[in-house]
Amino acid sequence: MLQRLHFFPIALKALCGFFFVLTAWSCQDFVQGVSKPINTINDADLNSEAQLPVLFSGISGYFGQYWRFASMYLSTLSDEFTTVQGISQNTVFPIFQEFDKGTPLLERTNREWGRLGAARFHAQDIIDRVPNIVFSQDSNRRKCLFVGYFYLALVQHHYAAFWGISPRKGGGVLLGGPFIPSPQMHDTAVMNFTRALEYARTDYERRLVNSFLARIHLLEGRYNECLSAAQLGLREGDTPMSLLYPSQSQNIWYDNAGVNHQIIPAARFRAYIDVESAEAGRILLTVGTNPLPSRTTPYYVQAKYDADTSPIDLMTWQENALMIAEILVRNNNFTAALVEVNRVRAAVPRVAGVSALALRSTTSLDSIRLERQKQLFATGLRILDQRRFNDWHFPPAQASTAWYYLPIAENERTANPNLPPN
Amino acid sequence: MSCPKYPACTMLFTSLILLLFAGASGVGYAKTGTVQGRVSDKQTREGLIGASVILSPRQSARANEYVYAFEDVRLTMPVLTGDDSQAQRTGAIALKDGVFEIKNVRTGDYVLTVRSIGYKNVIQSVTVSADQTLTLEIAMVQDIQGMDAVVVTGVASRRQKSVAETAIGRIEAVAIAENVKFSDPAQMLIGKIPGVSISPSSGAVGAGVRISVRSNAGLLGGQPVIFIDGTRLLSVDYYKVFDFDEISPLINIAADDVETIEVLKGPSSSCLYGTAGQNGIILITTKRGRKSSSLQTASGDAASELNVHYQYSTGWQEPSRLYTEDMALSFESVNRIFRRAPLQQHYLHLDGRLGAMNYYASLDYRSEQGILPKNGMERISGRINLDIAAAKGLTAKISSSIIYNNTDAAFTSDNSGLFYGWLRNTLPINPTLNKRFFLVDSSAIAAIDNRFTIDQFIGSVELLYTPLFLDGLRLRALVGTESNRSRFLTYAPPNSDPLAPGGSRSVRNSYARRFNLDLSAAYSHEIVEGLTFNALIGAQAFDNSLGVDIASSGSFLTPLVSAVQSGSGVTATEYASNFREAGIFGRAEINFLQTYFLSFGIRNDFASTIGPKVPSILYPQVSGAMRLDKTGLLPNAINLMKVRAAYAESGRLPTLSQSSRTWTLYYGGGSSLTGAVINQLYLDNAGNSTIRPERVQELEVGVEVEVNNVIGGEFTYFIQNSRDAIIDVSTPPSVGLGNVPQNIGGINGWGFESQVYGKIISTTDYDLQLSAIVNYADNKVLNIGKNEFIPFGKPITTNYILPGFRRGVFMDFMPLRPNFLQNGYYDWQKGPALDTVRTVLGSTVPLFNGSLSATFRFLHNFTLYVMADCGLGKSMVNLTRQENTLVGNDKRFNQLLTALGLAKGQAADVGLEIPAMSGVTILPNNSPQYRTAAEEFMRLDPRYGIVANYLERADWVRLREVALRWNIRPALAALFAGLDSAVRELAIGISLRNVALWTNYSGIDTEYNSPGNVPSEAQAQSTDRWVLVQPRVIQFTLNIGL
Repeated sequence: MLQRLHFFPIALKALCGFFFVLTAWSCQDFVQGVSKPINTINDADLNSEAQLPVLFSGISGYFGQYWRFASMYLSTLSDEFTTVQGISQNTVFPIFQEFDKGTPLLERTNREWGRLGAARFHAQDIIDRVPNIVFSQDSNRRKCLFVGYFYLALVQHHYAAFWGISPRKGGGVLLGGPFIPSPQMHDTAVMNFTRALEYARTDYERRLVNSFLARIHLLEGRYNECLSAAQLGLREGDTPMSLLYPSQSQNIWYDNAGVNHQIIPAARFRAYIDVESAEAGRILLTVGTNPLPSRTTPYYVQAKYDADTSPIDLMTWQENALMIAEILVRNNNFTAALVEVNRVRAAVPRVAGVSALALRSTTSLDSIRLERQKQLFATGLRILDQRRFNDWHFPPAQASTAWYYLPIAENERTANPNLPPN
Repeated sequence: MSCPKYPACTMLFTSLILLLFAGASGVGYAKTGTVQGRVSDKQTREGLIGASVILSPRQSARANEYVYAFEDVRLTMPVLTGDDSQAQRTGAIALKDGVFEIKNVRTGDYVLTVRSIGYKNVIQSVTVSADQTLTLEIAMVQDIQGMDAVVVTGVASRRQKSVAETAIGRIEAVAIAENVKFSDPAQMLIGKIPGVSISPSSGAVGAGVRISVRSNAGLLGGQPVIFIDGTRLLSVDYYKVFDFDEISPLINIAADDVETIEVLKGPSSSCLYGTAGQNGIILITTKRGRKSSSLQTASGDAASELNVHYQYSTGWQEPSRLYTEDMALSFESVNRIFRRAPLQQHYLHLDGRLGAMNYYASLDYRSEQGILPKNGMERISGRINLDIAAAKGLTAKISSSIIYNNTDAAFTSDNSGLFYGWLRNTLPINPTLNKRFFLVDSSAIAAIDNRFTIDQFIGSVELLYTPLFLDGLRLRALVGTESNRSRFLTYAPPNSDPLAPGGSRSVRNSYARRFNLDLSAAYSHEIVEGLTFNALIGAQAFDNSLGVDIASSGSFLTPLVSAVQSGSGVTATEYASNFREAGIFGRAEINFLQTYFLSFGIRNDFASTIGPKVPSILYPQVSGAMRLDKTGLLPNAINLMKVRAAYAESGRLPTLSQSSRTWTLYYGGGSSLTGAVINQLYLDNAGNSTIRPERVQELEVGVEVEVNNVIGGEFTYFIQNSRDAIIDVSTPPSVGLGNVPQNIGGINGWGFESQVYGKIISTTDYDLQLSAIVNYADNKVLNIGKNEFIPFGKPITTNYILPGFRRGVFMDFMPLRPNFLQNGYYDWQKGPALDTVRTVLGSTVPLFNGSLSATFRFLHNFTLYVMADCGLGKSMVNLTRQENTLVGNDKRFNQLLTALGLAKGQAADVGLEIPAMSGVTILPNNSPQYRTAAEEFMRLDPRYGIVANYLERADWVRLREVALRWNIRPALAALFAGLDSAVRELAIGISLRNVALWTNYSGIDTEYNSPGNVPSEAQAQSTDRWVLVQPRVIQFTLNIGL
């Protein structure tokens, strides 16, 4: 018995020590021995040249998701598209009606604002990763930096051009900082587009960047810089820069302004075709089919996006040409401007059984504004011209309060201490 | 020494080492004597069948006290007598009339311990002499509150409740279920344990439950973890698909299989469970071979080799309340939806002994229909529990159950049910107003299938080893596993779903495999006379694997086929996850003179993470208790007075991905510049490499008092404090990071739990026992960093975490005053003027809850049981009324609309298409009466201040359980000779649940916590959107024991 009493404490201590050392060590091993998640990527694993397409998909995907709705909202906010009682279907929430009246609630843009911020994050993330990636070819490194700076600039351009802190005060926010008015935001965008130019690998990429630079200068009223950039911009025959949508992530225009008629084009677009039937080659409309039996007057819905996979153009050579034309007109060089206008008109796809769109013999600022309306139909850009030319459609009761921009979202105003309260 | 490829096996190896740590025992021969006697109730003198009589050698009794309490199972296992010449532990079970006999007891000094469920232990010293018979008459005092019952006091530790250092909740399920019929263990818990409240997520069959313990510890609250026979279950509801009600994880546990449920209420007692114990631990123990209810109630030979018990119950469910005109003008239509739904159950169990093995086997079949059409459950479960005395000192406990459950989930149109639901679709059809709700005909809803099927296995193997050569050492190893495969099917045939006229089908198949390992070694040693030291070390590991496959499609060309691939737009989704937790713990306990108790413990926890840095945290525990009644300072009438205090910590470890940045792919798009892609990179988790575990501290102090073994009570005050709470903080969207986990939160919780009980009457033929429970739990959010508030719950009526207020409060912009048109009419277009800042309104969790119960046995064989429970200080958002108002289905709103001249066709028709009510006086605009009515009307405006206008106090008192049981065996035995020996038990009863509800809430039911017991972040919801009323359940039972 005595032997046992001596033995127990020693054994116990040894046992405890043995147990604790082993288990503490093995606990850490045990918890880390889990199966790898099948749908999760470790951040560090993306620092690979082979993963560049994956990184690029993040930027373009977010931007595409942002713009498919934002462009619809902007078209509704402008005089291009409208909601019509009795036509607009399945409108559970009056989102489009609010935009149509120019009075969207701040919460309406939460999703789009968030996606635009995510696109900016992805663009900066690519730039930040470059030092951590071993490139086999320098062109891949350049592409990485080009894509990063290009989208960074594109996001900032969109902040400046389409968003506002108040109905009449355009601009955006970067990284949760203070509000940055449009001109300063555009300066940042120009800086990053210029950096993108440094890393552009093809002439097409350089021309594309210059077209966006031209648009920025145009919006900021720097017409000479606009002309200079546009002349280096996209040329006839260049493919547009488009956002692409697989059927799993639809171009929402097709559903909301095609299959369902939550917004329909302003009546004047049909009138343009009535006046000049060849306009149907670029103002793509189809007869609406709202089943309400009381409806006798036909109406039209957009047919530009006739599938849920239809791309949305962000920049085209036609827009670039019309920017050149506008500046030339402003510089009283009407002849050269006419060449640009007719270049655009001649490229309008021909409608079966209809003569090609007639070329213009003269041009003016007004005719170029009209040309832009038709050419940029259903791209969300119409509001830029309404703002530039102070050409508003809101009834007097709403004229003073209507938004000329997409409102910076409520989520930002709530979470960002640098912004004034709602 | 480890296996690099299989780290877990290191722990298994360790356990092997522990289990092999045994030595030889001495050999010899001894003289023996006999101990015999009778165990009886001190008051009635009736013999106590089944009482265990244990003789422990005097010299090791105190040292082994801890061990034997821990090793409860051995008490009635066959005692393995060795060849040791020394006194050795032995015992017997009292048989008919309480008579027992222990033969061949080696001579020596013993401590005799007599235990019988429901009675206070009797402990006395005896001396056994050679070739002599010692005869004892043992009278036992009733233990009305189970103070001498051995309860779980922490991971791998047990002791009598009367000496526990923390507040332990325990219910003797067998005794409760003898009167009231339950479907699952969650129902059993309601109103039974101080500090614990249970809220169903709806009145549907299989509905989820929310279990609240104290003030829910951490900033985001949470649920207790559930163990059944040592196997850890996930305590969250089964996944909810679209419009389903949740499915409770406990519906697969047959209530009749449950023997006890114990609740460790917070870190003070559950600290050594580690992070899992933050919100308490619920330990469900199923019946074992020796502990069947039949054993306790029979008058025959308790040691018979086979006991058979059969129970049949049948009955129905019906709505416990009906809609009235004040709730909805369409109340008759709604009430017609309800049905009287049948239920029945067959339950058969066998228990007995085969050689060195005790066994318990049961089969349970329960068919239960809900009060809504197409809601019901069919459950078949089988259980086998074995206790095997495998070798000297080695006991194996095997628990296993297999369950098949087929549940038709209810379509109640609750918070998540935007468009469907039986109840909502009874709204009066108003083409203009109802269009927005996409209401469909009930026949279309009836065509929709919502079926949840699950096959589940729950099992554990526990090895208990007490080396005979080493008094006081005990080794334990337990492996538990739960695996299930479930299938959730939603099928809406063509034309049943207004949003998918072509029909839709979604199939969700999932598997879950969970595994837990518990290892512990305990050593007890009497240092000096009266001073006992217990030491415990152990380790726990938990592995949780889950896989889910979802396939869906829609637009079926014909209803003749319904397979997913027959529809269009087929989509498939797959998830898989695996995480692990592990921890090591140690505990030291000192017991001085059975009067003073002091314990120290520590636990180190680890959890899986993505990334190199394994999160770990150290939790300390200290507790103490003093039995004042044993100090001699108190009058003898006070048979128990214990004061206790405990402090411990627990916490919440970061989840798998909270400490590192992770990405995923999902549907996306592309651009002509970077290429067309279908899958897009998404930032899955922003991660935070500096994240630390949340730490929860708890201090509890309490007292338990019992006077004359007849009346008593307990009171516990607790404080819970959480700091460094991990919160996903939304960053400004312009940052683009989404939510980032941060250690920013803190919350204080406090409250008390109390119970008084007493046996007011106790005679041979009459017993009256009363119990009252009062709980109070409150909390206050201290800080949430720079955030103004954190949304908490579903967006439709969001709850908030807001500094200075309770967790999960409602808040809203209050309507201040109505606006009027120039002509004096109410300005409907403009609506009321709203406050510019939100006002904090009520909370979703009751401040007070409690219960009152009475058990009255009369005429010897009849037992009446009544229990009512209540909740005070709770609020509900009555979205049912808000929605009714929108569509002209609210009586008061329509009256006011008419009085204000705003109804259809009236002077100031606002276009609501709601006709004027007849008999309502139209008030002159601009009059004071008009403005007063407008004030009331403003507060019913369904468009503004939804929470402000429709938040109501929802205090309640519910007559929860009423049961009457008649033990008819004595009566029949008098009539039929031979029945007495052939039938051990024969009883009939009627049991009612949810009998009546009294509330100040204007809606139909107050107990509703969608989404039930889902992970903590969304648990605070308390919104009534066509909530399904709790059913009144009436069941008749027949019990036969052979």
